[in-house]
Amino acid sequence: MRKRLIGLLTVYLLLSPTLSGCWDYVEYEDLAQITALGSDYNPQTNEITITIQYPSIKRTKSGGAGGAETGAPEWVVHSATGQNTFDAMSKLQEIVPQRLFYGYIKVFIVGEEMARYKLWDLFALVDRTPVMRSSAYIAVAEGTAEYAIKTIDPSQLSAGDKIHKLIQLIPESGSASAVTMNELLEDLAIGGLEPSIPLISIEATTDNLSGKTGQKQSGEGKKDEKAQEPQGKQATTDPHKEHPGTLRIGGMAAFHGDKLVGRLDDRESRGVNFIRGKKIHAYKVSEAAGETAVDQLYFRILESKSAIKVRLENGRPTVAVTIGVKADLRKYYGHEGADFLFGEALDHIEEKLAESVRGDVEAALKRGQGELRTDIFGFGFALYRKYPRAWKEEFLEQWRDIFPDIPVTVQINAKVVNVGITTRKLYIK
Amino acid sequence: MLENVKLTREQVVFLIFIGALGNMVYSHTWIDDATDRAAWVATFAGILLVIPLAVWILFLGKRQPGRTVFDMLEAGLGRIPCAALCLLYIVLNVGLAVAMLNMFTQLLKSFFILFTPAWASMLFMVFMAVLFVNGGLKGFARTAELLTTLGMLNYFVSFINAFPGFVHIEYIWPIFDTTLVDFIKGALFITGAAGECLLFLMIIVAYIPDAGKRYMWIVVSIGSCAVVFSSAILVIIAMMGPELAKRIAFGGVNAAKIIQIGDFLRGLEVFIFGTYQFIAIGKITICLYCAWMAGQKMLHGWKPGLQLLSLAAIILATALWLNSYSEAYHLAVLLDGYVILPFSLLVLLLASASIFLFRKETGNTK
Repeated sequence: MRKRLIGLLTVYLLLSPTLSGCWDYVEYEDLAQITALGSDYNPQTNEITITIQYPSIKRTKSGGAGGAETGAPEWVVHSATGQNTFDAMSKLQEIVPQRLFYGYIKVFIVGEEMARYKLWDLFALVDRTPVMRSSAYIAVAEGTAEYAIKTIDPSQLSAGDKIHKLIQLIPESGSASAVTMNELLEDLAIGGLEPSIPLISIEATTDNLSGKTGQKQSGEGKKDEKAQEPQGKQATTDPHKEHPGTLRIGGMAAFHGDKLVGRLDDRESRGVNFIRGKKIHAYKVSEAAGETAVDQLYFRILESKSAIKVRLENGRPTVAVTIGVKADLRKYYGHEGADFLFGEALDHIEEKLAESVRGDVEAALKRGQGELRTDIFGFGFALYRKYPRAWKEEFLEQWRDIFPDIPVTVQINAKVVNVGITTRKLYIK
Repeated sequence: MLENVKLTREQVVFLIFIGALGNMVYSHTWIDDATDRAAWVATFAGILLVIPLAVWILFLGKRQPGRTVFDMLEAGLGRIPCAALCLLYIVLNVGLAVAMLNMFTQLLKSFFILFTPAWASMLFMVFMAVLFVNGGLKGFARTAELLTTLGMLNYFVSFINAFPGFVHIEYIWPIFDTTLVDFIKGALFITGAAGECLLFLMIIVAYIPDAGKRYMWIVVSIGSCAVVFSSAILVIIAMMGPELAKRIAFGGVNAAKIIQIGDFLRGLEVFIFGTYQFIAIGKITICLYCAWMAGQKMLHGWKPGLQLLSLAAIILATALWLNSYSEAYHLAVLLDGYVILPFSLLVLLLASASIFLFRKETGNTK
């Protein structure tokens, strides 16, 4: 009996230090729960700046953790510059009085220079760090990530939260596609597929920005020549200070490998999304025939899917893209057109929708295949799936040279599944 | 010394299931360079290839019921060759336990308890194993039934949420993009890895009633393991693509980390962690039990309690000395890829020869 008691006591004493779990204990309010992390690179100094944003959490009188005190900012933004990402992160810990916790990052924001030269420094870190969630989104900021994160948006949301929400709403506009860090890693690792990442721009909204009131500082339609002007849009304001502005997501940054090669505008981005079969619930407008645009049709896209088929003809790949689009009609001709919408009238409407989608797709192909010469569509991946051996032996190494010249045919199957809540057009007396 | 117990069908099925999973849950990525997208098929085939060897052990058990394979070896070949094989067997089991202990501890440290020292987790795991082994095989078998069921439940709860949003058909179709030779290489590695269950079966064959009539128990057990584990690899590949899947250190935990439900449930790795924990505790217990039984065979049952504690201390000390995920991974690859299968084949051949010699000596021609 005594031996048994001694044995049990020994087991208890030996096990007790392993059961306490106190080595990893940390108070909730002692954590800086970072929700957005920005990364910038300065090619002149070869330094990296990391910007973090986290909610301000104070201990309440009752002893528990609570939100920010009245009047105090609800989130905190800090930046630090170092020789590399880790160095900058260490410097951040020197100024933040809480333990930096990266597990709640919702969005990684990358400055243009970082995206152009040093993106691997960030994704290699996220790839290996268990606490950083690769399910967080990634976006490229026009100019610097620091400037984007230090934007005070009229929505009252922190920049990180707003960008996160905008990314979640991307299918509603179709002008970009949401990309998580894990999806970026997949795109980087998979042969015959190049990454494209949503683009953040900041539009001035108040008089505070040195005479830039109401002007769009950055936005759609910018091409490579604009991309060559690092931090251009911050020229009128201090990029290191918080400043008012409206964050916007539209357009995509196109990559070749881990290097930014150019931007796609809203239309081109939508075209890429149609080709890749991404979820799009955007409004779509048909091309107007006349100046008054009275004959323009509005659609709400309900569903889009695509099939990329690759064939080898005489050893040369050819691509056939079939895109299926289902949409509701939202606006018909003001004065003209059929009374009831069926038969030929419906065919005509669907034709107009297909024409509109084709315009986006052709713009995307022109930009991605013709100008940027990067396979953001995944044609190479489709070729690999159809001919794995031929891909490995003949195409893998030379794909960048072959890709711009492969013929691509596009077929759009548009279907208008309903015509809204009326069956006949409105006759204006 | 052998306990006077008889295992039920379910207990054998669950024990062999855990015995087969073992280090394979981490080391399976070793074959991915060769098998590429077909890794899950190679895994399925590789695990099934263990069945003939397991059936071979049951066949030996039929010939000499109530005896372990080492009892058979001793009866036919004598004490010294048997002791030498027992010693090798103990080293192998200690090696497997050390690899598992290190890889699981590093999984814990990477994902959950960063600052808790490795010795604390390892000590806890080894203590649990000692308690299970000391409690007897029957008690452990019942626990294994419970743990395996819970582990599988966790596994399904987590991965069911990967469908359909996180699963990409284009990552798994086409299935075969490798050569036949590479596929066979991969399958054979997995056979070695799943062959860890053979080491356990060499002992528990003594507790299987009418071993010669229980082939289907083994087929069901190893077949289930093949289905469950290959489907886990299939889901992992479907979620992250073969290119990323081959780089992951902690198998399903890495994959489950990607799964997200709404804005608040980000990552379901805690469920898969439960499964890995049950596998780790089960496997370490099995290795300790096997080494202990072989030790008792060598030393003829001399101070079993002391032997058990000594073996546990050896496992703990070696694991602490290694204290590295990468080293443990390569140890597991070395043992699974090059040692387990040849050793099992050698033991089974010698045991078969031993039975033949024994029967010849005793004049038993049945």
